[in-house]
Formats: sequence, C-alpha cells, structure tokens
Amino acid sequence: MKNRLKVLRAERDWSQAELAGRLDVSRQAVNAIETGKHDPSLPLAFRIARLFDMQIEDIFDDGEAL
Amino acid sequence: MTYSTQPNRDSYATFYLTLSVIGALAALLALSGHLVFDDEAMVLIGNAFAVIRMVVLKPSKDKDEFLNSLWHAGAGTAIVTMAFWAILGPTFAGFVDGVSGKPATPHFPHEASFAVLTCGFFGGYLWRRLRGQA
Repeated sequence: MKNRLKVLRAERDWSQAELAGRLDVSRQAVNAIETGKHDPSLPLAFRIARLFDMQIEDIFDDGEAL
Repeated sequence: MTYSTQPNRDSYATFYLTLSVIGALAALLALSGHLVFDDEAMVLIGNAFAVIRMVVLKPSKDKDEFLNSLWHAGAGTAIVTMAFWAILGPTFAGFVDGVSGKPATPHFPHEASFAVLTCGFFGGYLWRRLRGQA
C-alpha cells in the first residue's frame, strides 16, 4: 500500500524517531510503513491521520480508488 | 490491540530484530547439523540457541505492532513449513527412492523436524522484515 507518510513527515521536519514517538511505535515500524513493508493496523492508521489532521485515505492509497 | 509504551522502544526493537538474525543462524546450524554434517553437537547448540531466541522474542509481539506482524509471519511460515515437511517430505523421499531403485537414506530424517520448524519460523520472520507483505 502506498502512503505519503515520508512526505508528510518531511514537511514537518520530523525524524522517523520523532514521528515514532508521537505515534507510540518503534522507529523500525515507521520505517517499515514508509517503505511499504508494513501496512499499519486500523488504530495506528487513525492515530496517523489524527496526528496530521487528515483523512486516512489522504495518507494511504490502496490503488483501488474509484 | 494495545501495545505497551516504553521510552526505549527503538532499543528493544533493534534488540529483537538482532535476536531474530541470531535465531535464524542457530536454526540453520541445527538443520545443517542434521542434514549435512550429522553432528549432534551442532544440532544441540543450534536448537538450544533457536529456542532461547524464540522464547525471548515472544514478548516482543506485545510491544510493537510491526514486531507483532513479524512474529505472526514467522509463526505462519513455520506451520506451512512443517506441513510440507511432514506430508510432502516423506512422499518425495519415497518417490526418489522408487526412481533410484534403492533407498538412498535409511529413513526420512524426522529428527530434523524441530530444526525445520525453527528455520521456517525465522525464515518467515526475516522475509517479512526484509521484503514486507509482497
């Protein structure tokens, strides 16, 4: 699943570790999500969306948008 | 599912991911001890290290959802690996014996099952870590 997490993080000048701290996950988890190796759980996706004040579908793209 | 919050989450994630590599090497050591070198000491040491790594890794799945996904990938791969090993392994060995006309080995190496299991676990764990879901 594609996502804009790296771009959004860069726009705020946050490191992976800083974003991980805000999301209460490990830096490795953030890295895995950014590189598309791990799809976040729904609760984490909601946390990410709330953190960036966006909709989940504005951050994550499953490639099946109508 | 909620995960525990700890200030040093990066440290423990690195620790667990390093353990998984050591566990994979230990599992390979045990498997090669069975199938290649026929060395009981290698099997014993490899299995012991692999089991210790799996036991230490177990709590990691409750600490972080990425580590949790790695654990589940390893567990799933271990089950599939064992199914193939237990069902298709003897069948394949019998087929080879039948084609060759004489048994190449005295028996199917069932004693290597545990090493195969741990290899499957750590293989799935590391594959998920390095390649993701794809």
